[in-house]
Amino acid sequence: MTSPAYAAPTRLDEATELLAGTESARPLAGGTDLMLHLRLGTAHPTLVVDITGIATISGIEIRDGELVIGAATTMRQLLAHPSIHRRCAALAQAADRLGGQQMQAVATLGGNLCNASPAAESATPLLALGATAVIAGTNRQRRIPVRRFLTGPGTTALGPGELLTGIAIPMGPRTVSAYGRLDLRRSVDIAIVSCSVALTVDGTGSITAAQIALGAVGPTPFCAPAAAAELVGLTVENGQLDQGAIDRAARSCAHAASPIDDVRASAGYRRAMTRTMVGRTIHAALAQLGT
Amino acid sequence: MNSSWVGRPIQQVDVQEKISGATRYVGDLPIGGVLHAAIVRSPVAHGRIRSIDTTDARKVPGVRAVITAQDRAPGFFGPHADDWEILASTVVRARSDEVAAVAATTVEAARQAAALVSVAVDELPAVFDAAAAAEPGAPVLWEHSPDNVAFKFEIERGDVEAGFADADVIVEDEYTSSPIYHAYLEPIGFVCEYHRGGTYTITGPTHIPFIARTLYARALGVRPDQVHIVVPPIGGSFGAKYLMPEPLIAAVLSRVTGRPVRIVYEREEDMAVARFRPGLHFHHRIGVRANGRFVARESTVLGAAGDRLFWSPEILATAVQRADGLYDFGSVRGSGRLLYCNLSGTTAMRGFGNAEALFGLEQMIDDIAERLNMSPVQLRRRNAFRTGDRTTHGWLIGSTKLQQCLTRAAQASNFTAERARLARASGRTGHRGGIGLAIGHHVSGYRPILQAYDGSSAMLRVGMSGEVDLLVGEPDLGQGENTILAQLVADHLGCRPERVRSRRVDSTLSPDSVGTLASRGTAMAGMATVIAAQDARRHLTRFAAQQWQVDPAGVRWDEGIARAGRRSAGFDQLVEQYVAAHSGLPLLGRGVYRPKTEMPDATKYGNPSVSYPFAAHVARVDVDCDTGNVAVTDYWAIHDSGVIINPSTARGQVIGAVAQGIGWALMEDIKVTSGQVRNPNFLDYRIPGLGDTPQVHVEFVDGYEPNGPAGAKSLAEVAIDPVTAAVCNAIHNATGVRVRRLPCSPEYLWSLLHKTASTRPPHPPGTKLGARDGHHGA
Repeated sequence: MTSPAYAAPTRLDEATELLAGTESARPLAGGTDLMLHLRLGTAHPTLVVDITGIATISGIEIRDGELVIGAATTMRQLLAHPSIHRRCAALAQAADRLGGQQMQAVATLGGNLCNASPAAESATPLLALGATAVIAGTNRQRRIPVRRFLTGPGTTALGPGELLTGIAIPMGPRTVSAYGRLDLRRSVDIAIVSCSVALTVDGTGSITAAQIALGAVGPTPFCAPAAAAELVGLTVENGQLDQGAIDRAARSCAHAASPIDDVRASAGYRRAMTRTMVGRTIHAALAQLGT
Repeated sequence: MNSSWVGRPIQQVDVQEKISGATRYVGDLPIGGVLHAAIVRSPVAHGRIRSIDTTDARKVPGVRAVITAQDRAPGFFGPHADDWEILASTVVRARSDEVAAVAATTVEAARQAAALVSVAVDELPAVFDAAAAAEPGAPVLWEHSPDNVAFKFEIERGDVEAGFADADVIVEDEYTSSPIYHAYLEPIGFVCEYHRGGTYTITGPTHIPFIARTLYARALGVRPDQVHIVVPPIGGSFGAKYLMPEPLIAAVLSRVTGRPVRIVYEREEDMAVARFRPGLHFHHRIGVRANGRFVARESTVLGAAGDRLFWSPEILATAVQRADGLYDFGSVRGSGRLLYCNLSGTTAMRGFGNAEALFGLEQMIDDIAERLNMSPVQLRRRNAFRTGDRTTHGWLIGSTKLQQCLTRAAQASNFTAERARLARASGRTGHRGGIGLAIGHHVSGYRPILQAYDGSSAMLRVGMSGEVDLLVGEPDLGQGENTILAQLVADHLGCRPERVRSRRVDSTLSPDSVGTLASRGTAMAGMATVIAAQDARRHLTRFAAQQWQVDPAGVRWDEGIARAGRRSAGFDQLVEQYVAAHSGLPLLGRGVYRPKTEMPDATKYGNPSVSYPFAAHVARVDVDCDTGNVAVTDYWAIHDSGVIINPSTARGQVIGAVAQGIGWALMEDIKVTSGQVRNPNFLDYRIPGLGDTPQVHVEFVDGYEPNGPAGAKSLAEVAIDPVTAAVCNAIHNATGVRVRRLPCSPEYLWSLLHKTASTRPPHPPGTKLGARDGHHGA
């Protein structure tokens, strides 16, 4: 049993070079997932590259009509930022449900996404909000939608030597969002079902765009566009929406889900709860309109 | 006697060391030259060992020994039957069975080597629950038990047939309690050292050091006095740490290597091989007259022992008979069977069979109340035993304030009005509120634990500068016994409690003991301690009287100062003079407490305990019917434990027990597949966190138990006994659904509410689901 080597670069290009130079290198941010993998023997890096000293990949700013969040930004930093609550309520709510407070203090947005758990807290808000992953390689930068970033349980679109440096969320017309999740207890837990709903509403109360993303009910978190389409074109009146449409959207999500039986819940229960939680989360998103 | 310290919520005497990390648990003890052990276990749930290859393991740098059953004379032993082996010689009967062990200079080397031991087995058919193990043709685990029955218990009193014939209403139902993990903070660990000359020192946790010494000596083939037991501070147990196989493996490794050997589990291993609380399946029948009088009770209980017996037989016996000490059922008949199966052996846990029985009975009593259109409070009042009663099986109820507990619980929670209101609003969709009540009782010690004697003894030593050292044989498990004993000493000796050091149990110094089990710590060690303190004080009083040439009866103690006429002296001053006058001999107090308990006779009749504590609990729940999630939103726990010696630690006991009970009721769920625990971690084995634990309103009614130290009775176990039933009665109030098996997980409750069969087999390991969901007994 050998400990991996450790490097702590302060510049992004150093980090990507280190990652490109060693095949089994792994970036380290909060470490809440990586340390677990090391302990369980499910990761065997020979080099760990600590990226928390790279100033350019932490923090939150509004730039070119986008809210850009550095990959090494912690959940606590997200929760402390008013723009996140105002513009990306689903993401703030998800950050608040990630682990306990100790974990929120160190766990990062990039780490949570790159660990690529089917139940990853940050995944469904970012999918629903149409976020883009900003990726740095040794020679080039590229941007891909988060929905293409997550390729399977535990896998991402990152190539050798590539590092997720940030997440860009479009700051378009007024969008309300909410995160919903079913746990088996109120303290630290992992979702049985999670979902995020984002609704873009114009001045007349008409829903011009909608997205619903689901977590823990498939190999990766994913969007359910057919379900979301049930809501587009409807008008919100007094914070209410046609309940029939909400039910149709929720049922459509349950249909789109492909959950499995595991130690936490059965597939049947997960599917039924997908419907329940999506319905509730649509209502929670609508409630944001009143605020 | 002053009573200035009893009744005060003083801080626990060892809390500073514990919260600052200074307390040295077994894993922290600095031991020179210590080797680290790792255990190799069976690759299958049931099989015959063909060969064990240790060649590669021996090559790992740092390895000092790899042992198998070959390295010691094979032999069977055990606390109840000869079903333990230090290392399996021919047959493995559970995946937790130990087949080899490694000692190495580092933990990593030991684990690496253990992983390289290759065990070849011919797999045998296995059986994983009691019901299946009881069927004809089931795989047989032990030659001595061809029907897999590990233990049987039967009891009968009165004419049960006549009782049921006399009944106006008979309710009959089945309930299944689940196995749970004890979830103590400190995983199991030991340090063992073999000494030339043939003695062993075993340092580690146990509730019952002297019973453990006897068993360990037998296993190691030495006399009991050749095994030196030292009990360091224990980081919780809840019943798991009575007798364990781990120290024996470490002992053999120490003998083979000539070095001390430590074994400390990581949480995953601790949970994967844990001796869980046994799952029990109950068939209950209660006969009752139209006026609400119980006239007959019959119960049969089936439990899973696992592959060897730890403390499950006593639990089964308790599950069958103990409720007969709470209610007068008129005539009773009970029988229980404990079956071997290919799982880790099950063992004791707080509540000890009684909590399991009450889980069903206390729900059935609500059903009876409904059938008779009676208040559930009134029905319980009418049938519960009262002070001075001799119960069905001969318990003497010296004091009970259960009636007051019921009154206060109903009052404080506005139970009757709320229950009626919530029943009217009950349903199976949306959020529904519910309120539920349950009562419970327990013992304070139990005569049959040790054949030789009951009671406890204490030795008190007061040194030259007034420091007080107390030796009892009942270890503090982390529950605060040392604080209780210090308060009792303070009152009876006239010193401050922080001057009293309860010494760790050491079999070469401490008195022999029954141990800390059956909620007997305060009741037994407390009483012995009071007597020892009084004895020391008597010596000191006599000494003062001699010095002052007055009659000892004329010496009065007040606030730690002895006075006779115009003469006076402080405690410390007198002790100093006493020790000097005796050429250095400390002031010694001897405490021998022989309780007036009775060994139950052949029919199991007799008064086995000095006193009986009681409780009435009320739970408020919010049921999210669309997900099955239950939140316990409020909780009242009203207790009669006689005089409360320390209200702060007592409150802690109750709140902890309620949280533990809520976990058992709603979420704790061991998942086992083919004998393998699939969720050996606190992420997938959920215990309640702060978010799952409501505000618990704890109240102690005024009581005084004539047979208890300073009037006290036990508290530790009674506090969990009513919890699962209180929560489930509240769920019934909210939804109309009866929860007949544990845990009532969101998925399970949701399936009950919406009548969809859960897609996975719902029965917990070791039991078979027998509950007829949605069916309200005959």
